[in-house]
Amino acid sequence: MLLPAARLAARRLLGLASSSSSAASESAAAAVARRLSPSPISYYAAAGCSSSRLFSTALNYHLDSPENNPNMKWEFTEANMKKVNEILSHYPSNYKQSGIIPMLDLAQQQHGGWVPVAAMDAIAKIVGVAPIRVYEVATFYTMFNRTKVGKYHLLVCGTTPCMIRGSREIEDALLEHLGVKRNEVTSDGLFSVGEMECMGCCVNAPMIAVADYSKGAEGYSYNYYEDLTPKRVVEIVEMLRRGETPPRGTQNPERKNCGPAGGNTTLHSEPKPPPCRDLDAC
Amino acid sequence: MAAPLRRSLPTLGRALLSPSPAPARMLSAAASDALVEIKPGEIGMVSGIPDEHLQRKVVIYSPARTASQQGSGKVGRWKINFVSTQKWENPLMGWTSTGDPYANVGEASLTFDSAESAKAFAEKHGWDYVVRKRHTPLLKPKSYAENFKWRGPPKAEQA
Amino acid sequence: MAFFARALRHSSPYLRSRAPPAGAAVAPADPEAPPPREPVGGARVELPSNPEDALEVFVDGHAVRIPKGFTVLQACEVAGVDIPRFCYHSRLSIAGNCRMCLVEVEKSPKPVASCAMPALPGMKIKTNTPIAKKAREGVMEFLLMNHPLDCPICDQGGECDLQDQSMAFGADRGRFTEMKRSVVDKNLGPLVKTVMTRCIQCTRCVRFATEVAGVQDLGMLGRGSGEEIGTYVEKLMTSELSGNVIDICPVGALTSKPFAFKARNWELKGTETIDVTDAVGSNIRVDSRGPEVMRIVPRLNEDINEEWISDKTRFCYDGLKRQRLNDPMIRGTDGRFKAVTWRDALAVVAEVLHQVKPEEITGVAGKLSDAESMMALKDFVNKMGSDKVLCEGNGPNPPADLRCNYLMNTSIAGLEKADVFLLVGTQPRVEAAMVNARIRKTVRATQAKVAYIGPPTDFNYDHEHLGTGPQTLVEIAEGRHPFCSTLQSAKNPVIIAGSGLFEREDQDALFSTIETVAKKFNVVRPDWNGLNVLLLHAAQAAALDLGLVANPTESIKSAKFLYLMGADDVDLGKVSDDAFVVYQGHHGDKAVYRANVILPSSAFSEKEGTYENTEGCTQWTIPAVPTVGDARDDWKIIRALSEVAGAQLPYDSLSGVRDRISMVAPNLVHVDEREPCTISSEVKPPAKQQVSSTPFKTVVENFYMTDAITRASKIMAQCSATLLKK
Repeated sequence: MLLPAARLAARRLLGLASSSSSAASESAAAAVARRLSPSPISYYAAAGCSSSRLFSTALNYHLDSPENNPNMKWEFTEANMKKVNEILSHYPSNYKQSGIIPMLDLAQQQHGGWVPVAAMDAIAKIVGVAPIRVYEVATFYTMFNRTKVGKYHLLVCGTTPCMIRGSREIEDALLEHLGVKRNEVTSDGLFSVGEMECMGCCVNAPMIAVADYSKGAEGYSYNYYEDLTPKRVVEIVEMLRRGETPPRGTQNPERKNCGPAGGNTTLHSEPKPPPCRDLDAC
Repeated sequence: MAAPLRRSLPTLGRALLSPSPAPARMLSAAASDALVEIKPGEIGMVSGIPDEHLQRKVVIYSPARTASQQGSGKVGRWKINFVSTQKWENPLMGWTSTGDPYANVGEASLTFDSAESAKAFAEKHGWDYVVRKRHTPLLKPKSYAENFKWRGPPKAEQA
Repeated sequence: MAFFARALRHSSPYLRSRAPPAGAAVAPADPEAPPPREPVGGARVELPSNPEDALEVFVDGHAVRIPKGFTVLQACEVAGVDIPRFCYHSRLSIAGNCRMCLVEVEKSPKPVASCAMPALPGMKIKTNTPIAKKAREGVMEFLLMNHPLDCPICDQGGECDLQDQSMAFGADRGRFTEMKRSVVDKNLGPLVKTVMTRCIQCTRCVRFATEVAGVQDLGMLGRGSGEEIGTYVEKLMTSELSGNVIDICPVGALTSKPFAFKARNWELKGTETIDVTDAVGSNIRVDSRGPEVMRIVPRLNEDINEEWISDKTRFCYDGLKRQRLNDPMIRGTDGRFKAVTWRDALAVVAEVLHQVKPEEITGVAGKLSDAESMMALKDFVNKMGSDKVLCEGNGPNPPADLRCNYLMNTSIAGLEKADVFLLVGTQPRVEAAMVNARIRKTVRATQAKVAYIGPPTDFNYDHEHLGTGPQTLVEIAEGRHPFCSTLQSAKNPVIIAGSGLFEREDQDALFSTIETVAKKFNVVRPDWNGLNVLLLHAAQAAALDLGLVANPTESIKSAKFLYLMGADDVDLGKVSDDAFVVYQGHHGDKAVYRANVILPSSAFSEKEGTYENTEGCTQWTIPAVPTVGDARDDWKIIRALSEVAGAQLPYDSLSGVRDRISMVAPNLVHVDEREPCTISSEVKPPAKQQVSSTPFKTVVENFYMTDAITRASKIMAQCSATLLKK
């Protein structure tokens, strides 16, 4: 049933997983196999067929649904309208369309983590461009979700350094714990898991980012949780479920920020100034 | 790949034979140094073309570049349209029949370098011709930077 | 042999055989250097008068002079080198995203995208080096990576730029083993068929919709290889120019829905003719297969339609095959038509003609009539002793004395120089889509201001709606309106009056008010004539030239013998019951219901005819297909009837009719030439009428159905059903 390309990709993934940690290789292989078999979407994702690697949460066209359709009434809340005006004040009044991205972000925070098409229409009206120009922006940027996500949107970094350090296992642990597929929302509407590309925390890989939409635009937060293990990521999810705020940053108690475990091993003293020139003389 | 080859041959022939102007001009009655003077219509008469086809009206034109394709290989040549519409669908087979021997001559098989040679050809055959104007594109400066040009400060009433 | 090889290498002999124009770069004495070539497609370049604004570049060793601001690609075109391209289109903005136009430029480390790179003085451009070729081959390989191999079932096959260019730059095998991308097809309405998997993301359609058509519905959605063209939300393309995306699409992603799977383009015979569905006279090519018109495509004419045509022009062709009249018919006593021979039909008409009084004879030319048939009709009716001959749409008292009173004096291309437009009682978007495209082009390019007086209507550019009736016009004429200051400061103001005003009772007063405005704001100057009338029908200008100007209301009311030559939009309710109505036309349209005799004639695709467009440019139609059934050319029918009626017209050939026309209106025999009006309108006597306060009316209710051909068209019916907002 598997096509040659898919088989090839699966073999490559197996090789990668076994090289990163030989102990986890079996589970990784199982995970790969699981990911390959059940649905065509995840099969393409694993096979690297890029058209289906939808990092955002939706297709590139809109399908009407009761909760997402152009006839829906949508507008910014009064508090957010102030923010909108603040955003618009950054740009000349004949170049209002420069504010599309920050406004889409604001709309996403207000609307529980995703932008319905009605919100895009509302933004198009505010900046005075055709709606399609806003759709183009919203579909281009993968961090704008165009379908429903959980109140806590968990984004697992899938780029090479995190992948080598076991991001696949992190994702599997999350998916298994929450009982969902990727880009699916849990039945209580609290969580959803997505994938994203490098967030620049490679030194603390693997990592996830948690976008917290539970408190609207005011209490919105976007935190990184680094140095994860499959066990720790489940603990974080449980803390979030209880409404607690897990300490952000590295989850390795022995590390401070991105420093080495157990404190510095080098650079103990103040760094010397460069020998080539006398800075004080300037 | 046959097209460039075919098109290059007349040049070659011309270059080898003589540096003189286009062959069509040699046949025209205006050439004073021609040994034999050909009067309009004479070629048509001697080549056995039926009389009714010697009094045809033709349109000489240069096929315009269509909007749908970039290729310019067919642009710039001159054609003769015999204004032939005597066609009908054969009731037995549904094929197209025609009663006009010139129906498939103009578009498919006659191509001229210039309007002059097409005119000379029509004159030789005694056809009454009209030459249509050739439409060519006009190139205007344009730049990629135009897309990102600063279009000035906001209008006064908005500010 | 070396000579032969060289001749092959520089093979554009058809272009070369013409002597280089005077002043162009003369071939260098070096026998090895290739001789200069003609620009691609005979393109014209206007070199600036100041030599400092021109620069010289070298394309494959040829020196060419180009104006400043040209791109490398344009410089190559001037040098006669056609650069392969997908995203670049000369009438759209530059996108620079397909990378097919890569060329080598000396001292540039990498190949250069020639469409986006400005040409600089002394640049040495090389278009046929191994580097350029390899770059294009690489681009082509990427393009073909996700392009389906369905050319055998693709409508674009045979006229596809990707197909053509893959012949030159494509590999015979691919190196990609991955799955090909597939994209969901979009529904853009009844005209444009989409197969989005074939799309190569050149964004020409997006730019066309945004820039030319002015409907911002199409966009580029997504990113990377998931990128696709679409509307995001389900939306039809509601533009009157949407058919043009079929032409500009370099692949088979957007093709014609009505033409889908009907014919292959190499089976078609192209006939270069003109369109008659509106007064613009767009240049078209009628593609026919055997006796059938298969499709209509635009052809280039910078002065009239550039490279675009309206949807009505492009898709009305199926109307030419439906509801056609193919036999002469006489209505019997039972009210049913019976097919008869021409001899019988003409005999009946001639007999009735002799029974009525001469002043009860009225001839009406329809909106699609050519000049020849109108000339014949006028001569015939005059010869029978009546002067009641008119053309529909010209109103009770058309201003036929001076050509400048009913023509677009600025010319269609001249509109691009205008900076303020005042549209009076005209909705150019539905009346003349190509004129509207020019106005939009001007508005986009120069931020020209548009003001409009008339009923609320759709515009696809920014405009100011000043009012709905003549009152606003009077205010402007008297200088009381705030818009006057804009007109005052305008350099090249343009006033466009709709020919719908001809139908109004107060048209004399209206036009004299418009002239007052023109005088007040310096609209007509020796170097600029901005006073225009936008006509509606193809026959209108020629009819006014030939003097078909009888008053329709009383002529039709008093007629006992009414000769309708394709006139379907006359008020048939006014025709008296005992009138004998002859309908000569190609379609069984409205007027057939009242006709006593039907004489079938040929449509514009089947006859040679002279038409004058709204700017006064005379053009010919050329027959593309045979006539239907027993139909004849309009002027021939009238000529035959005149003989049967004993009032023989003094011409029996097309050239004879044209000689007669040249006596009445010599401008109508100068084909492909625009003859501007030289006499100014100031000699006109002042109007004694009062301007009424009735607001202007919408003249064209349904853009897609305006005449007998379009009303018979199924595609046009679909368009009116789905695309017109109600």
